Amino acid sequence: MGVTDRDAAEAVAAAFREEWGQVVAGLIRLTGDWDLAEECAQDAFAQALDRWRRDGVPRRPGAWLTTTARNRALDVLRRQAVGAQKLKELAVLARTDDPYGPEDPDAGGGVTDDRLRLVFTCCHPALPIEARVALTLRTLAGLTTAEIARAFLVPEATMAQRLVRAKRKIRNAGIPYRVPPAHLLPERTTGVLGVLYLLFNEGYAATDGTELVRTDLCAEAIRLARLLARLMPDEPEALGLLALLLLHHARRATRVDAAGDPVGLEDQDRTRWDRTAVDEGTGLLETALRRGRPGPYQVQAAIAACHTTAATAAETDWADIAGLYGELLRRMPTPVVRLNRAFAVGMADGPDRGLALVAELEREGDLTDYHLLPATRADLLRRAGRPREAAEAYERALELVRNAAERRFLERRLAECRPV
Amino acid sequence: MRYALLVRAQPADADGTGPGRMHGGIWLRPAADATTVRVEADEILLDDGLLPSRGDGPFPDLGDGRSTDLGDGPFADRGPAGYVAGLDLVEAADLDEAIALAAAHSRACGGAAVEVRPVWE
Repeated sequence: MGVTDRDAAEAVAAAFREEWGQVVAGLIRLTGDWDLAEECAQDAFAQALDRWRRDGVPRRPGAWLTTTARNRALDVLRRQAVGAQKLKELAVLARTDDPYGPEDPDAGGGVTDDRLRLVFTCCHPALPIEARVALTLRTLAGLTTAEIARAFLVPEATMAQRLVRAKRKIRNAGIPYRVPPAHLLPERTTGVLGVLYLLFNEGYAATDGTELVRTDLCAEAIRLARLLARLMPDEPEALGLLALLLLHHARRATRVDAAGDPVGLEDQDRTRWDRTAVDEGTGLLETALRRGRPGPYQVQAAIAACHTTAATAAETDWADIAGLYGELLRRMPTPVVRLNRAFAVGMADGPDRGLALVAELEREGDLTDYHLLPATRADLLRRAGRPREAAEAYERALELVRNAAERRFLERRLAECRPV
Repeated sequence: MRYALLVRAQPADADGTGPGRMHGGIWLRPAADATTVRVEADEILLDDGLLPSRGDGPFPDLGDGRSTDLGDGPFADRGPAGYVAGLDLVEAADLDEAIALAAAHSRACGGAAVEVRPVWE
């Protein structure tokens, strides 16, 4: 076949990104054993490197990998003397697919369902949220335990333990391996989207020395959101989430300066925003909104689109943004959304209107320890031309802020408010 | 599968319990495999067995997306764990079905927390 070693290695790497989740998901359904599924999938990819070099890259690498992994599982189970019925079932499935043959037009559906089963099980609300994130990255995205541990800044042993516990609970507590039935689906879908969003934010929020590793988390979150949007074409919120992530990610090059300090939206170099991501994001958002079933992610994506499609900061349509935050507040009545709306109203209708809303939040005392509350007040006071009061508010924010880069940002602002 | 549903109550609700005679027993899976279910305003809130939940669902992204404080989940306000007021053994196809049974329990007990523990068998 004349395949170079490099071709084979590249083909395996590409197949890993494309097929890992599918191979694992299918094996979990067949064997019910998460560890066995992972081991056999790993084994199949290791074999692929060898065999594809020798025999050529199969026309359908996914089918080759699935078959190889299934055969491997069959071997293991045979050695463990598993029930005859299960073995027969596996043996039949292991035979059906010829990976070097043409594509079977009917083959797609079932496989796709397996990945959806997998994501819903990984994101089951009875699992701790940290475990949901880790399990999704391990089984669906194929990150190693070490990679996940590094991304979340915990020791590898801790992460391994987290994964072991999660898999044990799935087995022992009887968490079903399935796409939830209709009456549970909306709520569980929200849960899955929440896990992907959290994953993205983990990567997005990092502005310290670990940023390189963590931008990968954003890329993984986008990859998974893309997969979910494809698997759930009728769910506009899945499209909305993907749009939102792309629109945020589009600004990744300008969000922090060379020193790693955050740069405010107004001061970001808009020519360096990723236009391809912006266009894709806005396109997806339009498609989602046409379904006529808006939700929190679509609204947040619409807000992000207002920012990314404004040619200059001055041209930002703050009235539109304030309206969208009002819309978001109806769906998510949280103090944090109210704070964002307060800022948008301040930008649209003048700082005083925004400050009145901030004062309301302060009176209610829900966000007393949240540095962005005084930071928002400070910013609005600065814009209102009241630097002395702004400086006081920045000082309060500095007492509360934890992230070092954000601290430097606030200190810079504070210095600007002080008389020279 | 069999699950034990443990109804939690606060000490103030306790009756005096007298001495008794051992009738039989079951062994439960550890707390790590438990799920706590509570109904509040007709919403079913879940908590994994060990840690207070850090919140679920979509988190708002702020302005420049820098804030990711998740806040405390529904069970952070649970306060003192209380005591186990009662135990039901149920048969359910899977955890989702057991959660639905536990939610019905919680609803009937004015929103009391019900812990779903798989039976060791």
